[in-house]
Amino acid sequence: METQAEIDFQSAVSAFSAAHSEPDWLRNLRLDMLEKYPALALPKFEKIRYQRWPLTAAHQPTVQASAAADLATLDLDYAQAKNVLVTYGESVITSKLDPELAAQGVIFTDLFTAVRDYPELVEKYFMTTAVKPDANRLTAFHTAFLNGGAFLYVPKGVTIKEPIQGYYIQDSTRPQDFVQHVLVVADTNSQVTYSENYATVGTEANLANVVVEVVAADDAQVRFSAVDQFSAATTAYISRQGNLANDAKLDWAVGLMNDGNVVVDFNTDLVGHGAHTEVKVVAVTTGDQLQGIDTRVTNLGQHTIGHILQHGVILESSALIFNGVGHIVKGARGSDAQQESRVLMLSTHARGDANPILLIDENDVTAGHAASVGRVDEEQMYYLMSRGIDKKRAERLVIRGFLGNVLTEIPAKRVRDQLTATIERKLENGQKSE
Amino acid sequence: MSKLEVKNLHVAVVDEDKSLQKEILKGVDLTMNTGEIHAIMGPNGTGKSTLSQAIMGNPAYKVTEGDVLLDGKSLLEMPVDERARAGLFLAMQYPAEIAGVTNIEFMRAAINARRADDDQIPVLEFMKFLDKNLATLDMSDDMVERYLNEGFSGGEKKRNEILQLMMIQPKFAILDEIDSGLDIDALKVVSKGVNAMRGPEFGSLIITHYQRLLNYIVPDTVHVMMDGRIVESGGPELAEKLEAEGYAGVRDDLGLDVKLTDEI
Amino acid sequence: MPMPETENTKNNATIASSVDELGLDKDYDFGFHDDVTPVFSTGHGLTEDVVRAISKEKNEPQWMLDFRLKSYELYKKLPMPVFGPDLSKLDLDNMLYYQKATDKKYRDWEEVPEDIKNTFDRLGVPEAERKYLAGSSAQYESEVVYHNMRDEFNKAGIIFTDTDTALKEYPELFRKWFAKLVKPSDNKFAALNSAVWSGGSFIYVPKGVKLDVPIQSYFRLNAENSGQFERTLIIVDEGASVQYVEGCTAPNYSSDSLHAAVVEVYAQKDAYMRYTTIQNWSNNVYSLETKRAQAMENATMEWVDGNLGSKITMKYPSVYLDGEGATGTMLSIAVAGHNVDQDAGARMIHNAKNTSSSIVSKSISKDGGAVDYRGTVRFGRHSDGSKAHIECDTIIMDEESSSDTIPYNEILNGNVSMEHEAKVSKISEEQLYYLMSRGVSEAKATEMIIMGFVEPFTKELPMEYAVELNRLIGYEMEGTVG
Repeated sequence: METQAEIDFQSAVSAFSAAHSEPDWLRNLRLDMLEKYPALALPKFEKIRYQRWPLTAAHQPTVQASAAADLATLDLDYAQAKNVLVTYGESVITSKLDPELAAQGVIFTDLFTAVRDYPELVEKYFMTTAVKPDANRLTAFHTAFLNGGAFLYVPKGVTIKEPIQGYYIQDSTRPQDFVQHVLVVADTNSQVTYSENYATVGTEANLANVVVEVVAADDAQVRFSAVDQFSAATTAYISRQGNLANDAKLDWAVGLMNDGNVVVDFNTDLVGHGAHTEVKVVAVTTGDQLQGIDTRVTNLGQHTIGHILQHGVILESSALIFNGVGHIVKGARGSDAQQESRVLMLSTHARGDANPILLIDENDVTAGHAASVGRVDEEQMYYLMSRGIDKKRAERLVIRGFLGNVLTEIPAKRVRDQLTATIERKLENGQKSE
Repeated sequence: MSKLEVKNLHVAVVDEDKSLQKEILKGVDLTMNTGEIHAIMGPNGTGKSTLSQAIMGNPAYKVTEGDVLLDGKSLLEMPVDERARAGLFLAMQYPAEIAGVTNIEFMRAAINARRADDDQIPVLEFMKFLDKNLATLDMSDDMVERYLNEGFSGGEKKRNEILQLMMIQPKFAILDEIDSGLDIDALKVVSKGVNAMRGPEFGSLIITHYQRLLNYIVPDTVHVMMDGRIVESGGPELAEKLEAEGYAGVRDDLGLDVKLTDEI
Repeated sequence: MPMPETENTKNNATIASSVDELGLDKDYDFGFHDDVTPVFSTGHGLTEDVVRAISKEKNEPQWMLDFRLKSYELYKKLPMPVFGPDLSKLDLDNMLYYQKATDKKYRDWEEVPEDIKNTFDRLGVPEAERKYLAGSSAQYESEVVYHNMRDEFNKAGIIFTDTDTALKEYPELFRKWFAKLVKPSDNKFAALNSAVWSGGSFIYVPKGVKLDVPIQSYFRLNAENSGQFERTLIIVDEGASVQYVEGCTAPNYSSDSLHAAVVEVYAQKDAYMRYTTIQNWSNNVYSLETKRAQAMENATMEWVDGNLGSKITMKYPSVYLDGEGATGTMLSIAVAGHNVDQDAGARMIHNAKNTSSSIVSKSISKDGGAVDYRGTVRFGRHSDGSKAHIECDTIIMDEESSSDTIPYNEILNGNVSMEHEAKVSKISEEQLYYLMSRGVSEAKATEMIIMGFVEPFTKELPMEYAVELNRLIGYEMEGTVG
């Protein structure tokens, strides 16, 4: 049966690649990974049992359009944005880039267009630096079944003031895999703010497999924010990988607001001297979902700084697992690895793990972690309630403050507001079920 | 009699992350003998603390030019503990906190570090001396049983620095803003401690912003430091002049082109 | 010892490569060995016949033989631990699983055979007893050769004997508690211990009886390729209290020895138990231990755990907080020098309301040693109002050394609080500078900082041990600063 499936997929993947006029290197890579992925190991997430999730139950890849009209339910407001890409399923709904930026050599487009128009540039960075296609079964699967995404390239010395915004909407009005790849390359001494949103339309139980790569060359500065809101019926693997050269800086701010089961693989390699990353993650889990989040920073270069901050709120019968790993390799002298994981447990049926792990192979370093699990801060509650706010509202406000460190990092006000509304909705639902 | 000389001292601070050097001291000259008390006054950010750390041998401060000599012998190649045993003492502005090491065991270790292995200070002698100094400084016995500076208030830390000074009996003590954060009673106590040390075998370099301290510890010589140099020296009356005219006044009198940190 | 699987194998390569060049540790004080010919030995290796021979030699009841044989079957099936240090060089086929050095146990120190007595005299064991202990025992290879308790404590109804004797003399009490907390199926080395266990301490403190002076056991491995599998069982009945101290040393050999103990402690309602270990095995001993305690209503269980020696230690003593208001603590230090991997930690399992736990771990690695903290704090469904505090501090002394901190915190209850903090760094330069600015040499200043760092631990030790520990650490630190 496996053999039968392989043959089917091989021609389907080839046909899919051909339909997008992909260059040979990509088609060959897809086919290579298609062959390899079943034998590769699943990525390892400490304390998270997800091995039986349907993350590799692929549908036959076919080129199909999605109906833009469905997006109305999401109330996306991108009309005013100068630099925006909206994709829905495999369809590109809109793609805009400020002509001034384009004139400076900035590229921001959907992945298929990028592969066609800039095959060499994409080939140089696509799964070569931040993550390798055969890193694990899910990255290999990703490579084989890739069916959407974006490419952002900021040339040397270019500073982009306006945020670059991507909306990647999963079409679950029918059975269809959502396999997205976002590749962000910030060349030497460039600066960019990139913000992305994932969401689902429809109720079909589909898989989502997202790989985001951020490659920051010497002295580049990238501010990256993301809000992930896959539906309860979506089972997702989300991988975000950063690779930083000398004195590069990458700030991550990610809100994990998915309703379904998700494993998240966050990894930042501080390769160059003086590279610096700040990773901020907030998550709210509800219902009976599991969100398992591995956040890892590896200090490879000297005088590198990696800080991880994770805040989570757990409601109803859900489970949230934060694994933080700060790894300083031998030779990374003068480096700093810090992490902080805070979890609010608002339910007696839920499960929360905060596992802050330090792996230190060098002595000339500073490393530390702090983790806590507890309830809503009583003092803050008292203060708010002394001003006449009722208990549930006060609780929601305190929690919003607790999640605020990522909220404030999101550049677009509308996205910020939507995230706030999402949190509010989740909290209200959670409070009701208590 | 001992002599401490600072000759054309240039000191830079190295920012390791950036591998940048910033020059703080730009040629300081200073000579003092035991039996003398010198005060260095100057505005914020002018290099006073840098001078004290450089004399003591803090590895974070790099001497790029010039020399520091004790009785004609250069100290620059000596690590900090050797300088201390040679007779220097620095009462620090921000002393380190070390949990688990009691104040008393540390002071004994410091005293014994100056004595031969077969001539360690007898416990009784040590305790008597300690009690005497505690009494001078109006400090309670339990202070010495506490961990070194851990959880000490600002005032307690300053007193503790002076207690160590009195226990160790150095030739030269540099007091780096020993008056900051002290109320008037504590200031009097600290001054009492330093004055008790005065004598032909003891010299002190007092670093301060304010003239007030010098009412209690009257210096023989006052130096004014600006922008990494000593710009004027004189008797105690110089401190009073500073108090009256401010640093900007002195600067303008001297016709210096120096921007003061807190100036807008 | 059962711990969740991790991918922590990054130190293994270093260990593997240095195993080959394992030499004798010059600085180890207890590395001497004495020529003692055992009166009975099962020889090298382990078979079902060896298990039967041990049981027969001990003249055990059938149920214990059955238990051993069942455990042996499990041992063969269970996998080696998949986390932590590399155990691939451990040659289990070459071990001596049972060696009996004397024919009897002695209550009078003077009667102990001269050569064995010499060993313990050199270790200062009887001297310590005379000074301050309520009772003490000494285990040499597989069997306890000496145990004694002051009459006053005997009269109070306290039972303190070796575990083999307990099986014979208190069969019901023994069977009620034996292997209830640590089942043979727990992990491979618990199964091994269950199959070949010998010696160890058995302590029963009756209701309301409080001992204010500690009981001590001393464990000594003497022969090359020795295995020591003591089994300790401690029951502290309601409202009773006891402190138990154990010390471990072994001679230096170029081939490995194995120490795989199982310790079970039951602290009943309102009981207090403190279990202190100073492990100072020589650098050829694998110390793979399973230590577990259960604390019932308002009981307090304290582990005080010092790991200074061994080649590889894997030890994660746990407290099952099964009664409301129970308290569990772990206070530990670990020092890993050249060729040493200390993989130690603690597990606190909150299964009842208003339980509290505290873990304070201090680790030092130097000269290429690896020191890892690995622990778990779990709040179960019924742990309302419980709290936990975890603090892990590590100093890495030099560039060759490393440290991993791997804490798991699992929370299944919304009404609990947990605080976890960890720090890894080298010796503070600020502190060094400050101490040196008072004229203290760098070596002395380093030693003072290290002593201060471990002080929360040493201050909890009985005086004699504290002095000894400070001396040992001082020794370890010598030559650290060149």
